[in-house]
Amino acid sequence: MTEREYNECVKTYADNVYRFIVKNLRHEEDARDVVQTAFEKMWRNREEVDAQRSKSYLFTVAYHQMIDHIRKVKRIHLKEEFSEGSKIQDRPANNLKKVLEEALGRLGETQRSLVLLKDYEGYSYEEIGQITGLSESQVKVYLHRARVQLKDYLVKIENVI
Amino acid sequence: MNITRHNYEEYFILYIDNELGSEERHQVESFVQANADLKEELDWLLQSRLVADDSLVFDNKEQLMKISDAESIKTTNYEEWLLLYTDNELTAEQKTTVEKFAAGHPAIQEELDLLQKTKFEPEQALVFHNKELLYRKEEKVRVIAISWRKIAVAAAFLLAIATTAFFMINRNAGGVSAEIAAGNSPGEKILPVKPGKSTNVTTDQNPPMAAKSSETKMGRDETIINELLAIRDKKTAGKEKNSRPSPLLIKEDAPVVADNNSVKKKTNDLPEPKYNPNVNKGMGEDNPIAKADIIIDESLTNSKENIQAPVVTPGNSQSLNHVVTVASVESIDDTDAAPGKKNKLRGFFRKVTRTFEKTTNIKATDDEDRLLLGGLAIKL
Repeated sequence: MTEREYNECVKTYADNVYRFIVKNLRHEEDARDVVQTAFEKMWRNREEVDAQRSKSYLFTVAYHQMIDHIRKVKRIHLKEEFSEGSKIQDRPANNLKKVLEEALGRLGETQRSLVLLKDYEGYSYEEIGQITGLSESQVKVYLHRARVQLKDYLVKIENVI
Repeated sequence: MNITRHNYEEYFILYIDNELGSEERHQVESFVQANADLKEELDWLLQSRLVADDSLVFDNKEQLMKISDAESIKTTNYEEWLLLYTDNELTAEQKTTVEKFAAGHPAIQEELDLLQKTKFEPEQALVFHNKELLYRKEEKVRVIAISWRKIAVAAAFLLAIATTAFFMINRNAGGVSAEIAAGNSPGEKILPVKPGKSTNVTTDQNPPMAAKSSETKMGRDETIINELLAIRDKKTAGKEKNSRPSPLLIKEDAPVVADNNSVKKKTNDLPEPKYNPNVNKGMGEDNPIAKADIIIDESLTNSKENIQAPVVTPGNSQSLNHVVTVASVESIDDTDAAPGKKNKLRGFFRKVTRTFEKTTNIKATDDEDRLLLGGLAIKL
């Protein structure tokens, strides 16, 4: 991976990795630190990183960095996701989104990561397995379990409303 | 193949295990017919064979089967198909099959819609600000290969510069001292120093100065004169700030007062008094101190008179007309320049050392306050 490819990778994937991490950690500054560390690691190992697989490498490093961070800090601050104005403008959509965010927060770290990797980045089970270090079957089982849990939460909330 | 009563057992076993060809099997059967007593033994062996029990079957083989086509979606396993559909893990054909299946079952369709709602969309507004923090630029290390020839040329160049600088400093220092010795009076005649040129040395009685005349101590006297000139140069250095550095010059017939006994003071590094007449107190006539500066001041102010024929007047009736040779003048310059140069260099090195120690916090001098230079490293 050349300097140019690395900087192109920053330009293309920095936001993606940041979204993935910040949604998991729900702490912007910590997410920035994790993203910075991940890119720093990729820069140090750029000789071994294939430019074609840079995104996968980046997410792998960032994921493990995030797991380390969670274990180390044990600190999760729930961030107020939405402004008051946006709530007024599109209340139904935001309500669903908010409910989903809450449901996501109820998932375990691994399940949450799997859902985000699947939905945000569209990775396959196999690719998610490579990133998280799980087998394809484990990814499938965990992800399906998480999805059912999310669905059940939506059903429960709708029934309450 | 020849079956006998000695080797029939091996053939019987091969026959039972179905390891013989049709011709060999036929030979075994013929042998048994010919030897009826062995037929019972073959039957026993045939009965020892195990036969598979077809009644034993594995139920629910569907659980082990892999989903290979969309036709296998049923009301019993549709959930996994819906999840795979939601995770976009199906082919286009399989997706179509699932959609058709769900369309035929309203409850399943509702569940599929619900699962579709659990999908997260990335928030485009959430971006990593200050991406400049992440950008990197490679630091390319330039290695400049220097051959030994280039090093040699550089060393020779430095040596030449150092040598030139050394002589330049020496010449400047000599020029200053000579000019100081000559004075800066207007109209003063300044002559270049020539080898062999002699100057008279005067001594004066008042202020007391002693110049012991002794022809046998001529060399010693010259040394003493040099010392006195050095002292005088030190004193006049402050006054002569405006003096221009010039080539090695000396004022013609510049009166110089010397004391042949003042050699003893050479070892004393204390600053010389300028106009202190008490300097000679208690020293007696045998050890007078020259008052070179006073005479020199006169020479500076009355240069015209001094140009003529400076008279040497012994202070204590011991007249001496010392001749200061050019060599001695040069030695004056040398003795004069050396301390000044040393002081300049010392001051320079002290400044450098202090700066180095401030910036690096490393003591650059040893216990005896000596600055150690060296350690030049060149990567090849």
